[in-house]
Amino acid sequence: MTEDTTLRRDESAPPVGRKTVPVGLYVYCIIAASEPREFGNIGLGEGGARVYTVHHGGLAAVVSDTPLRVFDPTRENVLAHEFVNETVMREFTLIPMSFGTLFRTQDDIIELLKSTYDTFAGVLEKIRDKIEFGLKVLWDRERVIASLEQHDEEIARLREQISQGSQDSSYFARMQLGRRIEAAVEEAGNRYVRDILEALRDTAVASRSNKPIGERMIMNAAFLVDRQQERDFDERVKEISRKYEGLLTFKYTGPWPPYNFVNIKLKLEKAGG
Amino acid sequence: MGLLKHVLFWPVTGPAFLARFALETVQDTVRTELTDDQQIKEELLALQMELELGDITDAQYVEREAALMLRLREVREWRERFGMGIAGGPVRVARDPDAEGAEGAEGAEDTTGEPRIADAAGGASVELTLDWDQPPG
Repeated sequence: MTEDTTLRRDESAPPVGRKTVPVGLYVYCIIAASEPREFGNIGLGEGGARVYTVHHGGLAAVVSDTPLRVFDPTRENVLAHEFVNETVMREFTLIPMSFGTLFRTQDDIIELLKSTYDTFAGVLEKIRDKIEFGLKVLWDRERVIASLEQHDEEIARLREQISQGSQDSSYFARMQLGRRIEAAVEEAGNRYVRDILEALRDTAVASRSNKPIGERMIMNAAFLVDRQQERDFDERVKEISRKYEGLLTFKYTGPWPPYNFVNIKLKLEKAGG
Repeated sequence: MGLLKHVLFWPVTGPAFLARFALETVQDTVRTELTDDQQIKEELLALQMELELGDITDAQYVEREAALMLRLREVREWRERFGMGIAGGPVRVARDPDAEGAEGAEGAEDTTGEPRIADAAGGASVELTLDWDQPPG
């Protein structure tokens, strides 16, 4: 294992007798910049590839040289992609490129910037100084049920009935109780989500509600926030998480580039021609 | 006329026609399954969440991620075989004046391990959604 890694790192000795994979350019994002920039050796690939810019007019693509191949979306690769964008966004508003997008040559990138110039420039203007935050909310079902039982009269009544009633009546009461709890839990989930979104609404420009991941998540949202409102948004998130302390867990991340709000779609033509 | 003919001449063309029809339906279904990576992507997200929540160890994550990557690669291969687009990978935009349909462009059957280069000569569009998403329910 170790030896293999050392061998591959030694760039002065390319493998003999094997066809080397041609080099292409991995594109991380599009920014508005007319002067060449370097972002350090932080790019995808072993040891960190040099990250630099390819320009056309006032626009630039942030790129690094990589073998022309398909990159697996492993955590390691995705984190590297994100790390470059996070570094760039400290100074620039950016349009993120989808993970794994490579271009054959600089000319291909320049051609892209040329053909989509006005669109890129317009979008960059619209998202200028706007950053994304992620908010995932998880619950502990048992705790939510316990809290509901204290407040829901019907649940309390059914419980009472079960503890006092005969075998028969308690069987039906149990079924009813199960159904009532199920419904109450769902209602509560929707209510929490609405309440949280409402609390954040006037401090964010836009929001996306993504599909929750796994059993415990009730909310998986992204918010686009103006840098000027960052502090307010932050304050609101803290307030609302205090409100639901002990009941809900908040996973708050960012700032991110606007991954959930901007999407570059390459107009791919059917290959093979 | 097409279908009517098949019905009228049932003994002759019917069963074969139906068999072919059924086969094509099956092929479509199989093809959809072989080329759909949505499920794998969702499993990957769920796996990352498990790690983030501390439900699994780093070693467990790495092992299960590797298995998912294998499945993704399989889907990718099928997609390339069927001439469908794949997520990520090399793209060309500029036209080669000299090399028309050169290396890689023939696609599927090349065994050098080089991925096919997709053609994005049309440039790109940008989707921008700046609204307030309504929560479900």
